[in-house]
Amino acid sequence: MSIDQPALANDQGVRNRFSRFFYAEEVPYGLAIVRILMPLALLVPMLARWSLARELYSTDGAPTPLWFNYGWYNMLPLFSGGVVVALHTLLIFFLFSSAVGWKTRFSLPAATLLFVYLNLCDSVSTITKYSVIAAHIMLLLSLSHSGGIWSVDAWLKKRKQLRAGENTAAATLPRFAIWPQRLMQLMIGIVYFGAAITKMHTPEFFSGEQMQTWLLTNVNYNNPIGEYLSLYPASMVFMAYISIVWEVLFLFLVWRGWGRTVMIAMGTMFHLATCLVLGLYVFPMVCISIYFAFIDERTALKFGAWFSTVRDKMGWQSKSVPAAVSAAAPEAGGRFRLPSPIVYCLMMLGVTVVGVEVEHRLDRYGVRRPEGPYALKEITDTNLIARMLAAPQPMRTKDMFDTFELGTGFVGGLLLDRRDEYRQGEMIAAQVGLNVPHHDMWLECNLFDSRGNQLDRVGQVVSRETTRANFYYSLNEILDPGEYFFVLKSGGQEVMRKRIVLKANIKPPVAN
Amino acid sequence: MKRWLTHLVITGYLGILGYGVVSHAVNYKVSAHPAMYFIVWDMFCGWSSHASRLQLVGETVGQDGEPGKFYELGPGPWGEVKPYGAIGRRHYDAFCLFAPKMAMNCLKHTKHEPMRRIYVVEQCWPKKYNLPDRVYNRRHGEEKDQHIYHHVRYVLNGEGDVLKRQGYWLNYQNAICISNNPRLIADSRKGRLFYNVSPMKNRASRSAFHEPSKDAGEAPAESWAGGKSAN
Repeated sequence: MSIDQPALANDQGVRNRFSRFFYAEEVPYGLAIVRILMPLALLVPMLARWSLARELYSTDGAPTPLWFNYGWYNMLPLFSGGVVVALHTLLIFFLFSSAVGWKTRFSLPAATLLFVYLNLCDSVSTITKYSVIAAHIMLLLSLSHSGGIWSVDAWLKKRKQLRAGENTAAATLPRFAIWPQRLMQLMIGIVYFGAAITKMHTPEFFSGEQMQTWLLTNVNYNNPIGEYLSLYPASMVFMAYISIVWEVLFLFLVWRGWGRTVMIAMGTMFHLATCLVLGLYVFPMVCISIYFAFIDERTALKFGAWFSTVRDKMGWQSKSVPAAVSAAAPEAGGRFRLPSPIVYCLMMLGVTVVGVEVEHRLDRYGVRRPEGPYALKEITDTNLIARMLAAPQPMRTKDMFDTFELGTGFVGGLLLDRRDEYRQGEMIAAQVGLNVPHHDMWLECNLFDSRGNQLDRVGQVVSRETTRANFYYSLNEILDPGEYFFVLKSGGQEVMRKRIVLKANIKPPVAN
Repeated sequence: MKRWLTHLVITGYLGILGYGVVSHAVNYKVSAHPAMYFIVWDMFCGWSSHASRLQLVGETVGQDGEPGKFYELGPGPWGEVKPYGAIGRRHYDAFCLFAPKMAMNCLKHTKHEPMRRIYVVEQCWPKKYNLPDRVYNRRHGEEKDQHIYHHVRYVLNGEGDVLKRQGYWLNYQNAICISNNPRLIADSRKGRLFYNVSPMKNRASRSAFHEPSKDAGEAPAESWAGGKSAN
């Protein structure tokens, strides 16, 4: 029974509603999808790191334990290269078996434990907040009956029933209390709420500066769209407000009806945008996987009925794979059939041994090559060495400035309608973006004509925390149409200049 | 019994998540334990207008009075770990806690002459130069004129013992800005303690205001700007 059902609405009393909220029983369709998708999402980063495990997580490499960052230097043990490779191989096996739902009640907690441990061992290049969110979900999946359907376990159970001569066609799907699913839903809502608090702590988020710098930060995967978007900084402010409103509302509106549809749709768009704009790949996979926890039994049945209709209309006549396999199962294996737990243990052992052996042969450090260990690469550029080891130099004045742009007004503190052609009588706004740190400075934005004559001088003190300074000019009719330059100066030294073309006012003069 | 256990799991789990949110909101003990990393949702909490990278360099012992040679200790000659894109793993060490360890790991698995010094060098530049040329020209209307600033963060001996440690390049630049204020510096010199009992005496936060070192060869600007600080 889902929370959308009328029975819940008629219930009286907080305790009853609480009980229904957490203990209503449903077929775990949503949980099963999360159980399939989440381990697959985690396999993306963890498979990529498997051949690097020795270097990233073991005492045979350069592990960077998270507990060191917090000053807890002996919190967990670090293992040797071989042990870590075995653990990492086991993690891959457990993630895969969790996704297919094989020995789910063991695979999920084992995968969770190993995933958390290995992530903790590498604070620099493995653990991120998506790892933490995924760890929470894996923990909650471990406590759930997510392997009850759409899993090898369910298929094996059905096969056993077939062998015993039971009529499986009439059997109903198992139903379980939905509290693990509810905790998952609450967890992702709380994550967004916490993220909103972070943004509230960061004033630069609302002025668009933080997002602007993140678009230019090349620490994630390629983000060419983000770099292009940096040409339109005002859009950052707009997106900043939308995202924080969505993050705050998610926890409260996601539970039913249109609220759920809108929140999930916005969330999906938000995460896809982080992929395109910031170059995040695994984070969206993890978060979008969790959204399937919001599929309750009623929604799943609705989708199922819709899919059946589409299938009938399209004339698809395929027998589902689980049904086909189940039907063939009683004859499979013959007399050499082994019990599933033994096959599981043998597979676990076999995969681990093969993994350790393959990694040994890959020889990450090249120490077993015929020519011996690698030699270091010499740096022959003596100028580079001299620059690297010289005493640090003060920052160039021009590096204290980010942008110098001209437009006609501001929105959200950012320049709007940037252009280089104006008409007489228009107001012109100049905005200077500054990089912090910079010293307290006197800034001038001076107007020059095309012959280099200074026509006007406007200045202001800019204190060291300031990231933006604005200047205003009225392009009145004292100025003839033609070419002009706005020159930004700091300490009397020219930093940047912008050229504009002033055109005659086309409006006829007012007669009075 | 099972129902009560479930009650306990639900309330316990939500209680822990709630503690994380409140702790984060009021900034209370957010760094008290590594477990806090699992319940504090501070994604994208920081920003900097400058990009930063770390270079690891080893200097060998020169023979017969000859200067030593310099070698790249990061990435290792076996190949670079690029965890999230185009840049190597060492560049993600935001607090520069593990870069010396990475350099020592490189030495551990390679054949090389004895090392006299190992340097961890920070490279910085304004992030505006990260834009592709075409986008940069459109935004700024000029050609890129990128200058990379270098700043030695660690000096270690061949065995990996730390000989010198300095704060971030940005802290150094910030300290320069502060040290331009003579009144502030004069104020900071007042009320000097006779006894030094502070266990935090080497922290970077103090470095901008401590007395310039009298060590030979150290420029005053460097010492004022946190040149000797431990971060």
